[in-house]
Amino acid sequence: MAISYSRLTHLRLAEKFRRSCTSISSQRPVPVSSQISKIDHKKMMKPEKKEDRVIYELPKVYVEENTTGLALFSSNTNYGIKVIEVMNAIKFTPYGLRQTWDLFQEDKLLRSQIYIKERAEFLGPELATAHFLCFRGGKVRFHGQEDWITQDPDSDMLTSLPKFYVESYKVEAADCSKMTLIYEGLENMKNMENLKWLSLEGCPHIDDWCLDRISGEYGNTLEYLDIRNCHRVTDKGIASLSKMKKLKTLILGGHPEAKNLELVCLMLEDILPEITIRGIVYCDESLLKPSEAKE
Amino acid sequence: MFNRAVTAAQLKPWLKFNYILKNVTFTVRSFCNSCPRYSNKDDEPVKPSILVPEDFQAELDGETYCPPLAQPIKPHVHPIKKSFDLLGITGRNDPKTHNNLYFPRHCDILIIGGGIMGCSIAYWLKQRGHDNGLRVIVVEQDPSYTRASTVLSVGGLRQQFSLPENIEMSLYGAEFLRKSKKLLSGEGLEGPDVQFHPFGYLFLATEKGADQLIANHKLQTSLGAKIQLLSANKLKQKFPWINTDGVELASLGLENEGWFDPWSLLNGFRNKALEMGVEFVKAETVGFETQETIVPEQPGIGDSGCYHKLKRVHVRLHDGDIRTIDFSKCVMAAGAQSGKVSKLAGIGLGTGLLRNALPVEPRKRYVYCFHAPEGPGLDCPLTVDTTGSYFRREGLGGHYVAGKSPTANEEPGVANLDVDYTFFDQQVWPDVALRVPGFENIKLKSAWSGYYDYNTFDQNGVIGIHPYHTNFLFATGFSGHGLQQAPAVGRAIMELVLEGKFLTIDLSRFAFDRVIANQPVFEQNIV
Repeated sequence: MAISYSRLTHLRLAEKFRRSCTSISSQRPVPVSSQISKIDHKKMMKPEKKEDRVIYELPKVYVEENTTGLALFSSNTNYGIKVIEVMNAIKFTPYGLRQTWDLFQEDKLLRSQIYIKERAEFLGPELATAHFLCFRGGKVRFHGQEDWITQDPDSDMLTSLPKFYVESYKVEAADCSKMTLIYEGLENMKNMENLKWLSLEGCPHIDDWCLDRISGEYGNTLEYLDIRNCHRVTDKGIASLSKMKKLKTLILGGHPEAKNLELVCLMLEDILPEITIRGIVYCDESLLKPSEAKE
Repeated sequence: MFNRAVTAAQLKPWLKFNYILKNVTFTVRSFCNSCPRYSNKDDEPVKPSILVPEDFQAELDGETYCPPLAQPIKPHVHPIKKSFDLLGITGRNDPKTHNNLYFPRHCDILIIGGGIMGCSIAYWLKQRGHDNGLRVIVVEQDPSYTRASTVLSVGGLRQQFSLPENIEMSLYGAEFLRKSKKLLSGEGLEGPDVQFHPFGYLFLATEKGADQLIANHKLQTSLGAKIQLLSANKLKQKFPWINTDGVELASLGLENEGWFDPWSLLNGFRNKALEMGVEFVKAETVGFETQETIVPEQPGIGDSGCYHKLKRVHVRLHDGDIRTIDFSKCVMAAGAQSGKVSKLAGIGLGTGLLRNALPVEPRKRYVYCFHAPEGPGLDCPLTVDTTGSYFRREGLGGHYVAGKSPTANEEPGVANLDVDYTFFDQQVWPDVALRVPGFENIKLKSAWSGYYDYNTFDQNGVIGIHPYHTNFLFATGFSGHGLQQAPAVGRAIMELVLEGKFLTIDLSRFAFDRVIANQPVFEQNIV
């Protein structure tokens, strides 16, 4: 049910979330003044172009302020290297063409999933995540509701999600199976208060770094994680799930590059108090059979 | 301001013509370069835009004298071989050089040192220079890296610094490591698997250090690092194996922190650089050669003088032959030996701007590997204790790696890489066993030692151009945290060389100027 607000209320709510969304933001505002040894000189430093940093420069031999007759044809940028880059941008060999094509595709994927600050400010983090995931083929379930919210296969519009900020919508479960989620896309799913259920089954681009991000982001709240068929995950990524203290269910399977998976899972079971790991076979069943037959 | 920044020229006859030429063409050049001057009136000296402290002005007024460096030598080539050289036949498959190609005689950019810094800089430069754009040569003394700091390093990656430049460089290092498999792959070349273990760094602080930790944390989160502060109780809840006596506050890295394999990153950079056409030369730098350049008189700035420009390096091959390589720019990335090699370029042996030597020297550090069956389990981060000792988990079999930075009067000698096991028994193990009761029952398995390229001035990297030798750049002196900053430093040097300024991360505070101006930039915690 779409709820509409008056314009003034909408602006007030957007302002409230603009402030809350800057808690861990991807942008880098003004840094705090950093440590420099204190030497007491009077009139020591030149007026700052940059923020609090004190920069001490030795004077230059040749003064740069020149008024030249030929300045029209000069520039500060070094165009020589740019000419070389343009000439060598695409190598017209089979490998080079494939490389260029792959670069284009990766760039397209990145641009489609990059973190948009305005969306999080406008909708609030929970609804922004919901919109992000559902638009790209995922499913979301809110706290207190039973139905999963998906995208209509026919249309682009997400009619079952509110288009303005609503406080009562809290994401509890996110189903991202078989989506092409990348590391930069996971940044869109931050600042959620209480995500308990997450499925990344079959996502081809999920690797150790993504698991690191997930365990850093939802370390305190996640209870169910499904990472079947994520081919790039290794045992180091699964070991990093030891940071999630409330994890109750972990579903594995289909990790060709994870070498010591059984050992890591045993160690995980030592550390995480309530965990059950599904999808791991600790002992080979066929070895047990002959002894049973004898007896 | 430099009134007499350069020595008076003793005009040699073959240079005198240049001087006369410049006098004759003065009017044309002045139109092209500046407002036309029609009189010889004494111009007022140009005031500097920054105010220099008075006691430093006296030092700047002194002359900068570059001591005489290596004598020019012409490498001896057999006359028959020389004539074939002109035809371009001989010189290939020369078994004397490392990579079996003809010995390169000139290049655009010479990189001294083939460790992680040198290979990173070579990769970044060549990536923009492609095949024929830039000719880059890396001079590395020991391609098997037996004594290199890179491969003997513990391989940590953290953003918990107190200087914004260090934090930004480590953040970029993490980003680069994530993409390293793609970026460092090529046709027929698979990218490196850096084996990143994302377990974080844990810094413990007593009451005295808690304020500093909080200030650092604020800066780190404002720049985008994800660090969490834990009180002693929360720390005990999260890591039950830790003993929180004396710990007031702890900071734990949640993302992009951990450790990785330095050898695979080094190989990744090196192989990609080789594929792009960087030439690696197995030789030791033994001298530099300069060329005298006339600096014409500019009214208001100074008299004409003679500037010694670094032009050529002399390297000694493994069989004792000395060869030369002409370069346009030179990058010093020799790690622990950087101070010694910079002296060959006159840095530290002259007067004025060449009076200060590069304050980088090797310092030996030990790393011990032991087995502890009752140690912490999987979630052991790289823990840095209040005493300075650190430890981390190694593998899945209950092995741990630990070390400590010795105090100033306990510094071991650097003549060899022998390990002192009493240092473990007396210094490292007591600290570590106090912090983790499970480490009381251990068995020491092995140990190794490596050199830090220790910056005696302020223990942070020296990155930038030398004020006198303007074609000599530094990328050294990182004192133990250089490995994680290597991708960012490589990119910064590439920007300096190709654009003339820093574009992404502003590292002007790490320039060599701070050594001359005696303005150290200290970092609060060193591992």
